Amino acid sequence: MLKLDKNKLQDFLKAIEEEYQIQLPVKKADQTDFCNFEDTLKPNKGLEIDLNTRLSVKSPKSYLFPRSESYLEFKKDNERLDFKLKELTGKANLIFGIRNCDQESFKILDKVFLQEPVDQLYKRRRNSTITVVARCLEQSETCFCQLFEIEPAGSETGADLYYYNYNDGLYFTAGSDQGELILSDYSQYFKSVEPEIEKKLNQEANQFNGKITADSDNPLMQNKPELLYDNKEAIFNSDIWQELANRCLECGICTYLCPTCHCYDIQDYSADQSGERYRCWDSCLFSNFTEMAHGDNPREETYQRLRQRFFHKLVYFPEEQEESLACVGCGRCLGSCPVNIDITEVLALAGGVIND
Amino acid sequence: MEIITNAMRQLAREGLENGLDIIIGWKDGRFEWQSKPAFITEINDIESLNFNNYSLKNLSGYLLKKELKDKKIGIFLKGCDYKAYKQLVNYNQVDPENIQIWGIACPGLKERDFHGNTSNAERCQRCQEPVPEELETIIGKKEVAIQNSPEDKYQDVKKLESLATDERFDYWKDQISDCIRCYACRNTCPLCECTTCMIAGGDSNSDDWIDSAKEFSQDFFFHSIRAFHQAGRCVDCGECEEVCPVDIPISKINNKIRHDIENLYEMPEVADDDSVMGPLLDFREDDPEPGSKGGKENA
Repeated sequence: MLKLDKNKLQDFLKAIEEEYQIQLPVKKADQTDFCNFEDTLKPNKGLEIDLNTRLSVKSPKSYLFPRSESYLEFKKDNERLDFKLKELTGKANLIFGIRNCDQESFKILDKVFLQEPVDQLYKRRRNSTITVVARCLEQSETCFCQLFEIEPAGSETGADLYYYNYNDGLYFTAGSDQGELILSDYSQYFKSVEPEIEKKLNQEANQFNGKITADSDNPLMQNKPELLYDNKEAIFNSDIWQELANRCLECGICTYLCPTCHCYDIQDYSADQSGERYRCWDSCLFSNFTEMAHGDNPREETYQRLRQRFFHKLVYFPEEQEESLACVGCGRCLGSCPVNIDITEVLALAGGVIND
Repeated sequence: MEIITNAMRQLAREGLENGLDIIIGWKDGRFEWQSKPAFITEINDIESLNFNNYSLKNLSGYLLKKELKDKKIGIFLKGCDYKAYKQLVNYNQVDPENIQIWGIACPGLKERDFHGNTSNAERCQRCQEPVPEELETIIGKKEVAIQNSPEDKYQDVKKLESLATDERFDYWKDQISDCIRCYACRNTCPLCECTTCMIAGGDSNSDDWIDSAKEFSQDFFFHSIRAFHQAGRCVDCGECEEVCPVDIPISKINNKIRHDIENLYEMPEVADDDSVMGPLLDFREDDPEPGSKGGKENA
């Protein structure tokens, strides 16, 4: 374990900026979200690095899977059509201060995009992304990552670096060779850590990681996420979906803020003789999501689309991916849905169906 | 709040007993700072109705849901919700025959920001008509203090107007660049009543008038066209701004347009009868044309 004094943080980031494009949580007006580190250095922007707020508004998935990404240019020259694949240029991305729920969401995205056939657009970003996880030693009221067996204080692998934010320092350990390399390359910024502090932090982390799984008082953790999987037929056909659909606005907030939602569409931006092909996020809540070219739509009703979203996360994804559930309990849906539809409510309603 | 909740339950019960099919109100969410729309069809569920400090959601937009067409509906509307409802009637979007409205004298509600801090809701601070006075049944205390004067509600607009053009552009560029185009602002707006949106097809990803690519120009186009379409319709219920996950101050755009309409065309926000056309439907020869060359600057 190595300590970086908080008052050295900016110098350290400036130093590694030579190598990496750094993204980190930044306070802007009333929100905290990931921003470029270099923007925080511009005094007129009013941006302030925020390592204390637990969650960012948006999930950092957009660094691996952008909101929209143009990847192919085409041009017509008389009878000839030329194509050019857009290269990914620039430095590797370093995402500093992401929480373990978001880090674990990358594993879910990896399952989707890195299996055969490998998604090359995702792969090239994934391979040039370094992550630094901020270990959580407390939860906010909308957190439920432990329902999905995620350890908020961090596992030992997955990210390149992990740190505890404690008193006047950030206490780092490496999770990968790349992480080790950063700690040794920039060793002038780090100091050794007294064994008592290291022991104390690790103890706290172990306690915290184990604590909430057994906490039956937490209203968000009272229903097992396997509920839908185990009772899929009864729950699929129940009327809870219509109840939720009455309320649903069919906007894309939940899917766009969700760290594990990964559906996309491919479109062209074309002028007369040239254009670009890009991919952009799509949402299963949008009514034309499954609309086919001939006009039919197998999920025409809101309740069907809403059901699809939760069945995808808790039934279809685990069926395809060795029982891995596609939710990390970050709680963004819980905090941002304008009409309070969230996965824990769905589990509670599903529990009602089973118990009746 | 308790008085309103009790009256709400009582009225809902009577409504269902007297033949209404569905009651639209609010119930508590999972946390103290939540409140969600409730759709009640059974007497047994009436006790779940609850009006709390966060019952901001304007319910009038739900009247457009196709599942509710031809149903006999009972609905609770606050002052701002009622103004939106009147617009829906003016634009022939709902049939008042099928709708029983109960007014709520709104005491002013709260909102909670991203960091968990609560404060008086911004929309309530601008509100001039918290009580839907015209309605026969109004629940709650009718003497509600107005938080700001009619002129003060345009403070934000005036602050922006005082900036230089490029400063104003930078401000909006900064705000609108955050847009993720989830379309929650459009979908929650009770007066965005088109079943197919001309600026973005049925939904987000269509190649109609705007492109799905996350480009500032496309985001800007979406927000400005939507604001123009709301000219003369928007009643400043504040829903769009409330739901925006990235806090784009959408109300400021709508309020700028409303301010101009009030000053240039002397139009009421919501007409009392359908003889008064909205600013986009009405033409008079002496209309001021502040944007055009040679046009009159002021009425």
